[in-house]
Amino acid sequence: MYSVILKTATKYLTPLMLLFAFFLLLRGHNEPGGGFVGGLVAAAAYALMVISYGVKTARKELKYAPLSFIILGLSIALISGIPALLVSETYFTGLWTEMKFPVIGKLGTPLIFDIGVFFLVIGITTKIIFTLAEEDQE
Amino acid sequence: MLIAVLSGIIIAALTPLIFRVMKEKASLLLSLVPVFLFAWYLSYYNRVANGEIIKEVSEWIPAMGINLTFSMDGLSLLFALIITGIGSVVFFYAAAYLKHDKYITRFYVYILFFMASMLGVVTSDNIFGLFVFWELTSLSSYLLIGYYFDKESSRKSALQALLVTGTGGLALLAGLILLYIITGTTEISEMLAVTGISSHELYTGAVILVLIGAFTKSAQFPFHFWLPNAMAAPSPVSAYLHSATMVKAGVFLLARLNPVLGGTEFWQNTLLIFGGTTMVIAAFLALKQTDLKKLLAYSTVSVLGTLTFMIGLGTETALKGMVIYLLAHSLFKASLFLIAGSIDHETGTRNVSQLSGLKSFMPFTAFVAIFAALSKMGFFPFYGFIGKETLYDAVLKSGSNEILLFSAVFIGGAVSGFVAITAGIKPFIGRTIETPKSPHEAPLLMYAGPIVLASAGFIFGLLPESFTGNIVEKTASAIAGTNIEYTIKLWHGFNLVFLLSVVTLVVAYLLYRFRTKFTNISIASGVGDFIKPSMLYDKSLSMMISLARGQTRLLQNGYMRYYIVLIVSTALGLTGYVLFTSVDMSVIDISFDITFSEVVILLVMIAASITAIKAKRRLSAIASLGVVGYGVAIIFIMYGAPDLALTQFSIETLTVILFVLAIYRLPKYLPFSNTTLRFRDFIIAAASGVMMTMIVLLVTSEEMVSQLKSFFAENSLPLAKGKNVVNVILVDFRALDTMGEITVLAIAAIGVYALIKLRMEGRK
Repeated sequence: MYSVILKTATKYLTPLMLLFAFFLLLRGHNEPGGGFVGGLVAAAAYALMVISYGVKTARKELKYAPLSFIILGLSIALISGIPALLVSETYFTGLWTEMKFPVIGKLGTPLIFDIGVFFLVIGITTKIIFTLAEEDQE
Repeated sequence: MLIAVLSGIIIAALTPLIFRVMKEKASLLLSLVPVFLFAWYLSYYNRVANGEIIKEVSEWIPAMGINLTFSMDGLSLLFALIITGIGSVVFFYAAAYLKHDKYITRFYVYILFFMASMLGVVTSDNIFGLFVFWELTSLSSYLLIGYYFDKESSRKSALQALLVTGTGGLALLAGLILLYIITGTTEISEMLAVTGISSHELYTGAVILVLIGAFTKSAQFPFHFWLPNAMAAPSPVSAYLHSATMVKAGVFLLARLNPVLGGTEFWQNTLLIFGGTTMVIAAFLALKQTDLKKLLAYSTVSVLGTLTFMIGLGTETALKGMVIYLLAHSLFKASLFLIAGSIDHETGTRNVSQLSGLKSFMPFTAFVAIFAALSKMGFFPFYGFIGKETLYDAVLKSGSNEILLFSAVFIGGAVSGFVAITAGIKPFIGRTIETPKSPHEAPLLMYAGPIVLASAGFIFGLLPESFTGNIVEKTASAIAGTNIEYTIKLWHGFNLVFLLSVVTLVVAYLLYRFRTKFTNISIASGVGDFIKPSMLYDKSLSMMISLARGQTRLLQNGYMRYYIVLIVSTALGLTGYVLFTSVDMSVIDISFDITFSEVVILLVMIAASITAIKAKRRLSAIASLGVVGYGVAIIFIMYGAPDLALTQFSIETLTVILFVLAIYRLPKYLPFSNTTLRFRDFIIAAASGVMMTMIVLLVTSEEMVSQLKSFFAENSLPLAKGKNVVNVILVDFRALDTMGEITVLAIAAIGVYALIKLRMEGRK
C-alpha cells in the first residue's frame, strides 16, 4: 500500500502518539491512563508505521526486538516488588518517596510496576503485529 | 536441620556452575557434600543415643498449620546416616563410573536433589512437609531412572515408576489429610499424644490410603513391578535409590506412623499379609532372573516385603530385627549393586551365566563382593547373620500361625542366600568365560566405597552392641512408641534358631547348585505370568490415552465456529439454570430513563451489528464490529469510566488492525452454513443476548452491597497515594494478580509467534 498522505501523517503522528503514551503512563496513578493503555497507544504508533512504511522500517524504528521488550517489562514488574521485601513487608507492598512531582504525584514502586506493564504491552502487541505482517509479505 | 536439607538443593542449583569451573574434578568436590552431611548428622549421635529428640521449627504456611518442622530421633538419625553414608560411597563411585558420560552434570544435579528430598522425608515432623519431600523423591527418581533418556525403555520405566509412585503419593496425601482431620494436628510428634485414633470412623480409610502410598513407594505386591524396571537407571542410582534409600521410604513411613496408626488388628494383619506375599512372590520371581541387576532388584523387593512383614509382626523382637535387617540390607545390597555396576562396566555384560572366574582379573572387587554376599546370606559373623537370627527368633515367638509365617520367612531367606551366591560369588569363582570386553580391575574409586560398606557389615557383625546397639534401640523404640531396652549379641548359642539358620544356608546352596531346575520350576509355575499387575498398569494407561484422544477429538476439533457455539451454549446453560432456579426475577425494575444520546448510540450499534452479520466481505464485517466496540466505549465515557473507555478505544483500534493483517491469509469468504445451521446459531446468539440483558437488569435493579467498592474508594488515596482507583487496584492492591496476567499475556504472545512461525517453516 503506497500513500503519500498516510506516510506524511505517520511521520508527524508517531512521535506525538509515543509522547502521549508516555504521558498516559505517568499520569495513570491519579488521572485516567496507566501502563496498559499507554503501552497500547505506543504499540498503535508502531502499527501505524507498519501500515504506511512496512514492517522493516517499523522494526528498525523500534530498535530492539519485541521479545526484548517483553523480557524487560516482565523483569521490571518482578523487580518492583523486591524493595518491599527489603523492609520486611510482603512482596509487592507499595513504597513511596515523600517528594511530590507534577503530573506523576508521589514516586513509588507501583509506578515502576506500571512501567513494566507498559513495556510488556508494547512488546507483545508489536510482536503479534510484526509477526502477522511479516507473514503477509511472504 | 532445615539448612542440612536445603544445602543439597542449593548445591544442586550451583552444580552446573561448579562443573564449568572445575571440569572433571567437580564430581569429586561434590562427593564431599554427603560426606560433610554424614559427619554433621553423626555429631547428633550422642544426644540421640541418650534418648533426646531434637526439634526445629521454621514457619512456612503458619496460617494453615503447615510448617517445616524437623525432628530427630533414633529412626530419623539412622535413616539420615544411611542416606548420607551410602550417598558418600555412591557419589564417589559415580565420579568414576560416569567419568566419560556427557551428562554427568545432570546426574549430580538430580542425585543431590534426591538426597536433599530424602533427608527431608526422614527428618520431617510435619505430615505435609513430609509429603512434599516425599513427592520430590519420586520426581528425582523419575529423572534418574530416565537418565539414559535416548533409550525408549529408560523413558518408559521412568514414567512407569513416576505414575505408580505418584498415584500412591496422591493416596498418601488423602490419607494424611484424613489423619489431620482425626487428630487435629499436622505434627507427628503431637499425634502420638492423641488417643482414640483407631476408634475414629475415618481410621480405616486413613490406614488404607496411607498404606497405598507406602506400598507403591516400597514396591510391595501388587505394585512391585516398577522396581525391577527401574534398573534401567545407571548402577549407582540403582544402588542408592532403588535398594538403599528411596524404596525404603515406604517402610520408613510405616515405621514412623506405626505408633500413631498401629496396634490394631487391621493395621498389623494388613502389613503382615502384604509384606509376606511380597516376600514370597518376589523370591519366586528372583529365581528365574539372569540379569545381575534384575536379580538383585527382585531380591530387594523380597527384602522390602520382609521389612513390612516385621512391622506387621509388631513384637519388640520383630521391630529390633527389622531395624538390624534394614541396616544390614542397606550395607550389603548397595555394595552388591555397585559391584554389579563394576562388572557391567569392566566386562560389558550383566548376564550371570556369562560371568565366571573374574577374581583373578578383579581381585579387590571380588573381595568386596564375597564379603557383601556372605552378609546377605546371613553367614556367621556378619551383620546380616544377626539380622536373620533376630528375624527367625521373632517369627518363632510370634504366638500364632508360626509354621505358616516361618515358612514364608524361610523361603525369603533361602532365596536371598541363593541371590547372594549367584550375584556375589558365582561371577568371581570357577573357570574364566569370555566376556564382551576383556575384564580388568575397576578404578580405585569404584571399589574403595564398597569396601567400606562391606567391611562395615563385617565389623558391625563382630561388635554389634558397641557400634549399633544404641541407635538400634532408639530406632526400635521410636517405631514401637514405647521404650525398648535391648542388647544385640552376635552369638546366642546352639539353639533352634541357629539350626534353622544353617538349614537356610544349605537350602540356598542347593537352590544355587540346581538353579537351572529351579529356574524352570519358577517359569513353569507361572507365578510370573499368572500374577501380572503390570498388565493392569499397561491397560489402564492405554485406556487413559484413548480416552484423552477421544475427548480431544470431540471437544477440540479445530473449527473456530464449533468452539464458539460450545463456549456460548455452555455458559448459557449454566448461567440460565442458576438464573431460572434460584433467582427471584420479580425484582427486575424496567422503569428507567433513557436519554436521546443513548438511543442514538444504541441505534448505531444495532445497525452495525446487522451490517456485520449481513456483510458479504470480511473487511466490512470487521469494520462493523469495530463500530460496535466504539459504541461501547462511548457508553463507558457517558457513565464516567474514562479509563475503561480509553482502553476500549485502543483495543478496538488494534483489534481491527490485527484482523486486517490476518485476513489476507484466510481463504475466500464463503458461507458454509445452511438455513438450519443459521437458525440454530440465531437461537444461541439471541438467547445469550437475552440472558446478558437479564443479568444486567437484575444487577442494576438491586442495590448490591459491596464492601470492596467503598474500601477501594476510601483507601486508594491514603494507602496507595493515587486518585485513579482503577489504576491503583491494578498496580498496587492487586499487583500480584496483574503480575500473573501480564505473564499470561507474554506467554500468549510467544504462543501466537510460535503458531505462525511454525506454519511458515512448515510451508517452506
